Amino acid sequence: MEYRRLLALTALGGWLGCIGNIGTPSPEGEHAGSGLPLAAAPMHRLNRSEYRNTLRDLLGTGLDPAADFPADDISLGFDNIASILTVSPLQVELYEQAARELAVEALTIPANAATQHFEAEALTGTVGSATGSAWNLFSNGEVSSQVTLDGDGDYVIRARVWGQQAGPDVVKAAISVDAQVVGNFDVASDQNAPEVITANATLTGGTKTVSVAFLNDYYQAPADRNLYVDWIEVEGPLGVTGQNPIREKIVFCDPVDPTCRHDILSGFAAQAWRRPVTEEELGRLEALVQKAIGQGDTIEKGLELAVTGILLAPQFIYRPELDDDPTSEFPHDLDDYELASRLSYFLWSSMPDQELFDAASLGELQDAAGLRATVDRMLADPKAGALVDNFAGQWLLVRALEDHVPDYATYPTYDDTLRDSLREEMRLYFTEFLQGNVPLNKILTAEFTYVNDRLAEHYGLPLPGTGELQRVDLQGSPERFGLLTMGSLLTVTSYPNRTSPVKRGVWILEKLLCDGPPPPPPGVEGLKPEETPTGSLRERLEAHRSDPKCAVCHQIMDPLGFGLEHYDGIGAYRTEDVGGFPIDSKGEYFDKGSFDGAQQMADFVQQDPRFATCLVEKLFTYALGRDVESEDIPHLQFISEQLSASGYMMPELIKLLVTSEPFRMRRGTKEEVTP
Amino acid sequence: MIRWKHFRSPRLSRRAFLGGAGAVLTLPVMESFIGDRAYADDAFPPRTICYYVPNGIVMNKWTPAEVGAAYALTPILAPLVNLKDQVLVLSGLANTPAQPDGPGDHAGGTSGFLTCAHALKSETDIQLGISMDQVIANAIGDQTRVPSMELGIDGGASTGGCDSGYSCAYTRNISWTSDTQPLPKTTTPSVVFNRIFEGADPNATAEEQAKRKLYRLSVLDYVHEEALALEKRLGSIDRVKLDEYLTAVFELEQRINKPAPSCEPIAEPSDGLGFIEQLDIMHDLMVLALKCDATRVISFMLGNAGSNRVYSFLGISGGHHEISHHGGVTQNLVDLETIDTWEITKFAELLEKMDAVVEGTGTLLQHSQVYFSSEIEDGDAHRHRNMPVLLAGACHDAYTSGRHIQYHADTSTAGPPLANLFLSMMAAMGVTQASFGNSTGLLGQLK
Repeated sequence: MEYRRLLALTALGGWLGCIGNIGTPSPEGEHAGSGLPLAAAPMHRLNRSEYRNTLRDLLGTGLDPAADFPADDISLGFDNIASILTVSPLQVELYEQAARELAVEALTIPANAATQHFEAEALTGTVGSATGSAWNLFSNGEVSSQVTLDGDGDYVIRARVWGQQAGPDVVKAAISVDAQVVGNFDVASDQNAPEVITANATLTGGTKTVSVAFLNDYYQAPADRNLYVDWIEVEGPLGVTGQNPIREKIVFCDPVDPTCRHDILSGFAAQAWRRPVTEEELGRLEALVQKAIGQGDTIEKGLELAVTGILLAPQFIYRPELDDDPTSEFPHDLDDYELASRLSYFLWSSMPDQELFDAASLGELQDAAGLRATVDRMLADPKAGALVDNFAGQWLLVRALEDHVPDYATYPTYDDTLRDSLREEMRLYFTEFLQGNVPLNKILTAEFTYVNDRLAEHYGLPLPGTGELQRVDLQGSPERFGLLTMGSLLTVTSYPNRTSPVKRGVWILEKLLCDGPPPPPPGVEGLKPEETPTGSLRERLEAHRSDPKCAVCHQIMDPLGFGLEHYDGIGAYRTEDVGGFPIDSKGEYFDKGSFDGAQQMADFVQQDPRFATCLVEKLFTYALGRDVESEDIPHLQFISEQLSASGYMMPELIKLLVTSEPFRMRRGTKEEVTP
Repeated sequence: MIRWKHFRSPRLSRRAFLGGAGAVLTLPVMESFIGDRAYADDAFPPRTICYYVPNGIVMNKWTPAEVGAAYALTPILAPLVNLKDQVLVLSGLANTPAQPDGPGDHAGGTSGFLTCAHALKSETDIQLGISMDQVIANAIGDQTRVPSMELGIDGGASTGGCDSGYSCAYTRNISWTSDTQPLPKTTTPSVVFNRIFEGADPNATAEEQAKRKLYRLSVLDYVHEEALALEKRLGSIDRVKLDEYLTAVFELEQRINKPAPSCEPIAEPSDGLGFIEQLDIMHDLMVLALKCDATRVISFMLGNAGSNRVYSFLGISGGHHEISHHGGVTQNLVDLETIDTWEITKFAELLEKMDAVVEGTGTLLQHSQVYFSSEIEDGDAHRHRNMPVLLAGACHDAYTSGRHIQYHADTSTAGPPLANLFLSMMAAMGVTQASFGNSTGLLGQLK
């Protein structure tokens, strides 16, 4: 990359003088820009894991709509690069479906009590017959239903009835439960105006028989007294409220009241959009609520539409960052809330929490001290595990473990347990650096790791005596000493049935030195596989070095991979390769000297000045969701120097990044720029 | 001349044909016209499927020795025995724009698969061209619920580079709606199912359905307004982003206004299936989508470019991509031939399913064109000429099927552009284009 040459130039160049002011508050307490130009950054769409985490923190939903989203495209080794995160029609369709389902789930009012309803014409009575939509009890008898009651409590039993009146007395009815009468009634109505009779009873749970009985039959032709029963209902147990914790967070007063509704909408939208909401925006949300009213539906329906809209709006899907003048390229500070979002999506891959919102509203993020304190708090939060999963997961290729399938015949011991242990080992290892327990520049040679019995067996280490991963000291085990000897990495940089020194060499060059090789020249065939190996893999790769047009790159790449040849395609140590040929892991490190074995090779890499700057560059790319541009170089240079001077701790690197201008500031783009 | 667009059969009879009401009506065979073409069975529109398999084909077991209708099926093509008369084997076509700058043939070939465009070699800066299925979808997509469907088995690749400095977008997508925007694949069967039946609830009353639709449109209208308000405040590079969103919202609004699909749904498929079950379900869903006229344009990727799937159920132990760099090793070539033959076996199953759907006096297969190919020819040589191409289905007699056509026997030089075939395929769908990609005209000898 061209910037490396510029990096060399800036070391000599004069604009270092300005850099000392970066991140230092001016006397007014406001952050003062250095006046250096800033690279442009396109608007960032939440990627799949960010969307998922945001839903978790915003709603606490049990749904996972992101599981069906298409995977995000990867660029520069990461899946959070803004320019590559496009929005397809399929994606919007899925967002829309998700928004609808999430709104329904969020706002469901749990039933106070269950009401069971039985149409009488579908029941059977001791006398009588079904007539139209009712049961006609034409002589004394009853119509009943079996009902299952959820639990002990107070119940209400209702029946819609009418009488066919005749004779001197009014129709008399009774409601019973398990033959116990719970209510007696005079049914004075007739079929033109049926009535609902209601009885209350305290009952125990279980299956019961609920009946409506006709008590006073009368027949003197043509006068005929009858009782008609339309339906029977049982409601209860009363007073038992279900709970919807999501709704309770959003709806904290009665939405029928317009002021309350305004507060509900502005509260939820502000959380979802990660900033205070304008009155205009609230006006449009209220208009959406009114659409439901216009259709004859309730405020509840209107609220559901509004929540759907909030979760589908671009303010939720994207992280918009605004400029007073979108066409000006002059850098300016990010708005407090925009900065809070950059911070939380960097460190947590999720939305800000309430404390971060509060810090934003109080302007505490506008100075370096406030930012640094915030970083400490955020790194201590469990949500910082997202950095392990997403940054380390991609930089160290841990995610690649999922798709990598070693050949069963060659590596029969590889199974899910081993894979899961390898993954967990990387996570726990990296977490120590993230927490600042070990300096970052020792990541290649740290002499500790985490193993369980399975992994210890795989590595030839003493068993810790448990299936849980334990931290172990590697002092007495020269074969394992840090990142480059970790099984996860060694596995994903291999082919299914053999090691690949070239892949491993390329990984080191690209991910640790940010100096990946150019692609091979056209017409290159690739390693010819052999039925029976005629030599060790190293010997067969000799063609790389004997042919001058290959040698120029391969004499650099291959030795790095050979340095790791003692570790097979799933990271186990060996002294001979597949054909039984002894492993030779000597090599030259660029023009710096020779090494014998992985440890010595790792030492070279660790001391390489490109290693330190590459670390910074990778984290920068991840934090900002864009490539390093020439405008960033002086800032990265400053960060590298400060990092080195302060002992290479990752929390310090994060603080330096977060207080740098590219992170805290932005600018617009001239109109004629066509991306 | 009656153009297809404006000539539709009454809905009741369409529903009957598409398997809904159970009653079978015989429509008189009528002629309607698109451009210069006459269609029999006018109730059934032409459909297109584009089917991609990764890592090339063992050509010396693929290319038939004879040309014309009397050619003998080669080992890899043998599974097509029952459908031989409905398939065209096309040899000698070249996709020269798919040749990458330096290595990256999988990215070059896959991105060029339906675009016949040369990808800009970059990880962040995407520049390609529209794909032929989207040219068709743009022309006729408004007649169906969904303008096109992009399906696949593999979702995103995990991390790591995709192919020699090319963005992963080039290796995971074959359908491109513009120079810069790929259409990501749906790989979850239930999501595909929902797109076909899109919220059509057989239990809801017409009134409830109408209100549901109205509410969805109200919300989309609302977000549309929000996006317009936001757009005013954004700089040019951000407006490009928001434009994608606005376009997608607009398209969804259009889609919601379309009528529900007019056929009986199958049981909703399960997710989380193994590879073969998922492939079978995807085939079923493709047939269903076409049968129900939910869409008329489908693209399908059996795997992502450079897929290193281990075909253990075929007794093969290496990764597909790795083996495809066979280096002349006998076992590798044997394994590759096994994989390729299996791919054709499954492809034949799809065609048979299509041929089992009766449509008037013909079948769904006879009314469709199904394009099958890979991003390169030989997996070791990584060439983009003498491509392995099948064209199944006569597409309302646009083609005279059942033959092997050799367009250019000299494999050391490039034959006619693949883009010419695509131009002809567009014409078969009633879409007249002057050119596409590096085309030089319609492809000859097809009829």
